[in-house]
Formats: sequence, structure tokens, C-alpha cells
Amino acid sequence: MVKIEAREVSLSYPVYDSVSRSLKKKLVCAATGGRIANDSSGTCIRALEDISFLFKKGDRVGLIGHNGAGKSTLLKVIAGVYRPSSGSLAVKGTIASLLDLSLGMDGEFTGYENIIMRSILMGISMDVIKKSIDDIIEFSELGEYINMPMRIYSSGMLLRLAFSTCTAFHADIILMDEWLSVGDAEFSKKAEDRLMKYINKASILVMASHSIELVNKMCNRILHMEHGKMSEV
Amino acid sequence: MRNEIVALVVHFNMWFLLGWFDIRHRYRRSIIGPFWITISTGVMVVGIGLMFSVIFKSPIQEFLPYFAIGQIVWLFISTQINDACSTFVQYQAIIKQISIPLSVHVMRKLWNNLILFCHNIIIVVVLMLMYCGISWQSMYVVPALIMILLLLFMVSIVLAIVCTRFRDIIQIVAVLLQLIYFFTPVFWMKNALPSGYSWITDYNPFNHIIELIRSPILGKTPHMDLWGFMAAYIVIATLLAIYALRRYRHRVAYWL
Repeated sequence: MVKIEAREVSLSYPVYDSVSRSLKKKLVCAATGGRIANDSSGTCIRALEDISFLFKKGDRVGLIGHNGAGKSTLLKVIAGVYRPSSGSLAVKGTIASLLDLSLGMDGEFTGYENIIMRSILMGISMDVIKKSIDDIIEFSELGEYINMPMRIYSSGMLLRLAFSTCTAFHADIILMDEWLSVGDAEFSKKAEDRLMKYINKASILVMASHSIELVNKMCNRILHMEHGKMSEV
Repeated sequence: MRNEIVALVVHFNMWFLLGWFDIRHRYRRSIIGPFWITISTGVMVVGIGLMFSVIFKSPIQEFLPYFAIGQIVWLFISTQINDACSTFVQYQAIIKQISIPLSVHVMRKLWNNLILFCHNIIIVVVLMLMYCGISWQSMYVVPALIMILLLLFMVSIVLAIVCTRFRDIIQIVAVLLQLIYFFTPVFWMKNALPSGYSWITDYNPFNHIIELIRSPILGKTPHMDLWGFMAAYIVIATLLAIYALRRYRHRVAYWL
């Protein structure tokens, strides 16, 4: 059963500058004293505070809030990048994190090679990649360019390739930072259809966004985040 | 630790294939690619080897293979130790986006350096054929190399974690390695040490590591003590790696 369950998750992390990162000043993170705790030993940011929720199959969750409210941090906690400082988080199901589409891609390699590199980072096996690669190339509409080094691509082409790759493999849980819109008007429509299909196949979507209209349209649960705290709207 | 080892199998392509891509990236648009490393090491080893065999008045057929093997093994070990320190910093984009056990990144780096090491082995093979032939003792190279890889893997995990938190250690390690090079019998021979100075090599782990792989290639059976030393280093490094992983595995993403 796919689910994400958080119980009183809090997260604070230390910010090291060149001085405090060094051996000389080994600092202790002060967990008390507000969101940004400043003391002689350094700065500590309280990014999430006492967050509890249960996302189940069928949930389309929209996270809204200002910059720095903790939306992206929460997505990364769900992705398993940051472990909560306190509280517990249980995630059941495979995760696709669409936070950085072009992660691991490199201009020196051809589009074809970059599809492989990006897919491997998503944890996809070679067999599955080989099965899907024709579909990815076709959807990206790169044609002959697929065998050219990616450094000659325009930013639009690069995004199209990354988008096509990232949305090619099924996952139970999709994490998204802002809605993805790709390419020119024509491609954008096509991409939107693909993204909708991709999301509909998944059990849970968690999407951070600034746009309330978008979240209203896309999501059946809306959570408001402010100063690291969460409230259901 | 068990999870981390299992991850190396599960995420095999993440270090194996991406490690290959790293090497290809480094030598992209070059015609002979990573064989440049063979050439640059070869030129250096033969150049210094010839010069020092004159200075130290050692016969070239004895000194050159000795120096070449030592230098190539040293290059592998020292480059890996240096690279280990900045592994997580280098792959931070990945670490901050997706959750993969840290040992996968360490393995990717080690694999990188092993590929380069394999390109350098060509030089050793050529020199052996030219000067002393290949003896049956060479088979000791296999267990020796496996032990060295295991040790390097564990040491790299510890260094990668520590250096991500304290960035100064990256520099400290680099300086120390430079210093250790001169105290390790790579470009000089142990028997050149005046009496009373043998402790320089006796208590030098780098000497033990290099000797373990150099002596069998040169046709000698490695001393039993060397295996013991090596096993001890591996145990110590493994314990440290387990401790570091258990304690700080989840902190690394915050430190980046």
C-alpha cells in the first residue's frame, strides 16, 4: 500500500561558513531559539516544525507557501535526502523526484547517452531503459540531434530531453517542485498531456507551488506552509 | 554497513556505468583517450627511473621496474585518497536530490581510479617483459590487489565523510600525502637506509601496502608479516567506516 506518513517531523540544519566548517570551530547546533538560531558558534536553520500528515493512494497534494516556507525541504525529506531531526517519516512506494530534471546530464555526451545517464540516476535498470529509449527519443522530437553532444542543444531542447526521460518511467510517488512546463506552445501541450498521464498512473503526487489557481485545479488536498509549519486548507 | 554493501549490488550501474562515463568525460574529444594517462605516467616513470638509477648507481634493469611498480601503485593509492576527500562535494548535486547509499558514490570514485590504474599497468607489463620476465609469484598480485581495494574503499568512506564536514582536512591530507611519499620506499630502496633508520619503513603502512604488491611482481614471495599488517589495516578501517556511517550517514546531506 503506497503511503507517506509523517509524525511530528521537525528539521533543523546548521549552516557552515568557511570558518565554522573548519576544525577550529566545531559547532553545536542549538535546536532552541527560533527558526534561525544565531549564537557565537554559528547559525542553525529550523526548516520544518512539527509536521504531521498521512498521504494515501489517490492523494494529489499541493504545497503552497512563500519562498523559504519549507516546501522544497519537505519534498527532499520525503525523497529521503534529509533525515528529520526529530519525528518519524514512513514512505512506502517508489519515488520519482522531479526536483531537478537535468540532474546528472552532461553537455559533453550525446542526447542518447544522457538519457541513459539520467535514467540510471533514477534507479532504472538497463533492460528497462533500453525498452523505453526509443519512446523517449521520439517524444523529445530531437531527431538527428539525439546523436549530437548535448552542449550544442538550445535550453529548450535540453529541457525537452530531460522532461521526456524523467516522465518515461512509472513511479508510485511523484515529487514536483512547481508545475513543469516545457518548450514552445505546441510541445508544451503535448508535454502537459504526457505529464497528466504520468501523474494519473502514480498513486501519490506531492507538488510544491506558488500558484493557488494551479493547485486548486490539480490537487485534491492543499496544504499551506508557513515558517516551516503546515496547516491543511 | 550491510545496507551499504547491498546497495553496491542494487545500484551497480550507478557506480559502474556512471564511473565509466566519468572517465570518458575526462578524455572526451581526445583521440587516444585515457591512454594519455599511460603515456604521461610512462614518460615520467622512465625519465625519473633512468635519472635516479644513475644518481643512486643502481643497475637500470633492477631500479626501473622497482620504481615503476612502486610509483604506479603509489599514484593509484594517493590519487584515490585525495579524491576520496572530495567525493561527496563532487557528487553533491546527486546527494542533495536523491537518496542513494553513500558507499555508491565512494565506489564510483574508486572505480574511476581503478580504471586509470589499469591503464598504467600496461607500463608495468612492458617493463617486466623487457627486464625480468613474469614469474609464478605474480599470482600473489591478485589477493594483494583485492586487499588494497578493500582497504581503500573503507578508508575512502571515512575520509569522504570527515572531509565533507571539515573541508580543511582535504588540504591536510594532500599535504601529508606529499610528505609521506618521501618517507616511503618508492624512488629509493630500503637497503639504502643507514642502519638505525629502518623504522622509517618498518612502521610505514604505505610501505607495507606497496611492498605487498611490488615484491610478487618482482618475483619474490611477499613476507608473511605484510599480509598480517594488511589484514589489521582493513579491520581498523572497516570499524572506522562502520562507525562513521552509522553515526554520520544522515548528516552528510546537511553538510553539503
